[in-house]
Amino acid sequence: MKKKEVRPRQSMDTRSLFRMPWTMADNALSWLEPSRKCNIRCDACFARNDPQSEKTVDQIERDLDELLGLRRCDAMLIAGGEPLTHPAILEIIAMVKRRGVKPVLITNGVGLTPEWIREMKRAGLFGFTFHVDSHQGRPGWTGKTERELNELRQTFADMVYDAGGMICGFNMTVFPDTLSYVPEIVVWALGNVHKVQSYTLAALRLVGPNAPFEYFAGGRPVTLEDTAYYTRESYADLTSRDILASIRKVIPDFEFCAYLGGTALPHSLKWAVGSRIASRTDGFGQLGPKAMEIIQVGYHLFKGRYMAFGNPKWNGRAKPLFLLGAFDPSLRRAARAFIGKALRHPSLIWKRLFVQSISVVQPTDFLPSGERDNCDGCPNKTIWRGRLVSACLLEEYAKFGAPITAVPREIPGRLFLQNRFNEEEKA
Amino acid sequence: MSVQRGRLYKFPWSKTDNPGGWVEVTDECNLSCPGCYRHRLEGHRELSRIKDDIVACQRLTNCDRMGIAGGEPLIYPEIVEVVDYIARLGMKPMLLTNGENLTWELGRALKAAGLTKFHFHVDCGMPRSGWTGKTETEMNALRQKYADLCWELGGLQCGFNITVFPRTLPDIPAVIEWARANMPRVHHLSLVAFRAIPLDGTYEFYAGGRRVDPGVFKHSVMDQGTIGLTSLDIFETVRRHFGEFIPCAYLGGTSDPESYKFLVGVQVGGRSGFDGFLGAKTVEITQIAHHLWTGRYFDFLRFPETGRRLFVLGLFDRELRRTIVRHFAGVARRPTRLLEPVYVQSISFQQPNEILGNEVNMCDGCMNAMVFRGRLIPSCRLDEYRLFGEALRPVRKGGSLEGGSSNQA
Repeated sequence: MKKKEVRPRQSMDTRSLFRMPWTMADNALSWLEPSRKCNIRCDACFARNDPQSEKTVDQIERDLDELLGLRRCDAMLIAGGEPLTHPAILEIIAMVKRRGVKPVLITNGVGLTPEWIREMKRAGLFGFTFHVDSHQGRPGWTGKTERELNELRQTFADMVYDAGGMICGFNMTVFPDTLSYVPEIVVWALGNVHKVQSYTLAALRLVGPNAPFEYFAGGRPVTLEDTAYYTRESYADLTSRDILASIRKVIPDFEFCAYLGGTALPHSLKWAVGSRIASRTDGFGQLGPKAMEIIQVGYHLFKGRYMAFGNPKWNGRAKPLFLLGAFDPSLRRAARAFIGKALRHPSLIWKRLFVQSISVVQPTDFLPSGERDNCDGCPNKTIWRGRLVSACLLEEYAKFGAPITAVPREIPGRLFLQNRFNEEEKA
Repeated sequence: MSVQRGRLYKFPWSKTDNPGGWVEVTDECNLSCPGCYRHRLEGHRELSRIKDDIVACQRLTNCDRMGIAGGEPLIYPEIVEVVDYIARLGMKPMLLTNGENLTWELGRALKAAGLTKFHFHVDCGMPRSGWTGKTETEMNALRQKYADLCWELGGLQCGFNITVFPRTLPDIPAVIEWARANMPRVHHLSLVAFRAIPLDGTYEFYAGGRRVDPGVFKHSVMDQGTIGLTSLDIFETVRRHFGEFIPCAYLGGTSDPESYKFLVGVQVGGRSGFDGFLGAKTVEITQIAHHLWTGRYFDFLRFPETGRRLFVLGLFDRELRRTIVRHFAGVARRPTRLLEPVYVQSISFQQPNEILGNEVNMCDGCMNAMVFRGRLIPSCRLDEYRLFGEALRPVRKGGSLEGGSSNQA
């Protein structure tokens, strides 16, 4: 019998997706940096490794309170730098937890042990997002492919799973030479759906001398040569659509359900998420835009904030989500697939179903006009001198006191009405 | 401070999922208001281009209402067709007008074309024939004329826009008093703090890396003291007069999330009086329910006469419960009130863009974005794009590279 071809049901038009209701002052996430010090040197890091940047606990507490004073959020990403290098990391986790926010570590995991994980869990840690990719210069793992790095991912996933009661996520910067490995990572993650709740694939962004711009900060010309994200060549062409196409090689019906657009190009896919529903052996489909909308606004109605991560206690208890199929066609399809399979294999009824989120990020872009296209509703806002700034731009604030603006070297025909205006003024 | 942000609902509006869209049909006007940000550069626009912009704006913003502005839209010869076109696309057409050209016949034609709301710009700073030298309180007579006209036309909502200057601030409570006395006829008041580009030498302005002269703009001022009024100043003035005034929702700033770029209080009442306010939960529930059912957030409901079915939401909203108690206490004193419809009337305190440090603090979730050359821009900065091809970038003189917050500004 000819196998039925599975096609994605939606094009990449963001208008068919739910635009996350996240804003500057009311968001799901925020970002806290205890230090910009790091124990490895990743090729595409947007933060300068600064061994002197470690903040005191008092400073971190002040940052945290300022941040929460300006912005409601569900989870606090404790990042850096490498947060595990901070000697008071347990105290920092407890500090976030005491304020009723979910502390989640973004870490490279170097030196992490099962005992340490248990200690952090006791301090109130909600979960981990491990940054693992093949461009990290990680001791013992240099020269490995993304496929081989799945072994390291497995180690971290197993450690968090064994400690229990926490969420586990991964993120990976996608380089042009690692895009082809995305399907293997997706397959690995699906095989660990009971251990891995989320993973993020972020397109590489680096600037170089071949970029057609001059740069300014606060009106003054600046050079980017000694910033963390300067290379001999620019890497800015990979988009979230490329990564999506790569995911669809192994999940042909994969669809995003929600997104954030750009500050300059509202419908650019700066951040998008799709949430798969699967058992340990089978995938059934995913949440659609309506289901995500109901989850986000329902959570906000009752908790007063938008949801970043589901409670680890819900892990494996995804079947009630099918009720949202009353409003969401995508979930209805997933429910039908589940029931169809359960009729053929009744034991499936007793199996646990999991939700696993795949996020794709396309960081800041310089448009041909020089304008920057950042995430509108940026989830990674952090505090800098009492104000909220995007974590990916923090380097610019720290170095220049303002975000970088770019001006094309060849200025197109602007000022097109200026002449007419001047004529009328004279008249 | 009498506004507690933790008790307010932050509207979830974004660029691509927003209740408001904006289109300008002309940049000509029959008045010349001091401080107006629109310059006469193009005159009446081609209808086909306007229609293209309307479609593009709906596609980009997912908007529920389309503001038709200018210039003065009522001097645009094909204004009825523009309204009709917007209504046919399933949006609520709203006209932002000074009202000078509004006649009974034109009002009927616009209503027949599908107009949902008139939003009249009326304040004492406008050089209107017969109304110069009046106070803001005296301008209530003109507002009454327009409100009565809308009421007689029937089925049209009526709102007013008032630019607030430091000198007119003390009169604002009298305007709210008037609006409360006209609950069935007046559905919205926008109290907008005056803003202009400062020319006192504090800032230099750049576009595309080149320094430009902001003195070409009509809305530029030498004295920063005239543009320092905030939405909180206006709110506090109102609050001093009406101690019970409670806001329920807001939009913050893109640079300073603590600034109240758009702060809203919603009054509930009827012909015989004012009952109280809606709380944050009611606004949240109505916004998300509207979005769940229609796929869009709303700026205003089609029918401001909500009736007592609104009171069901008192189950979730403490402020609304207080309003319900006051309403039925009023009914107990005068049972005929039960026969009167219940209306909602929103009062918004707005603070347009201002410069903080080296950045322009815009509304985070701006509901007046428009399409210019195929892309979405805030309508209040249109002339920067028209004149310089992009939004001006201010740089504080003296080499300070640091950003700032409203507390420092």
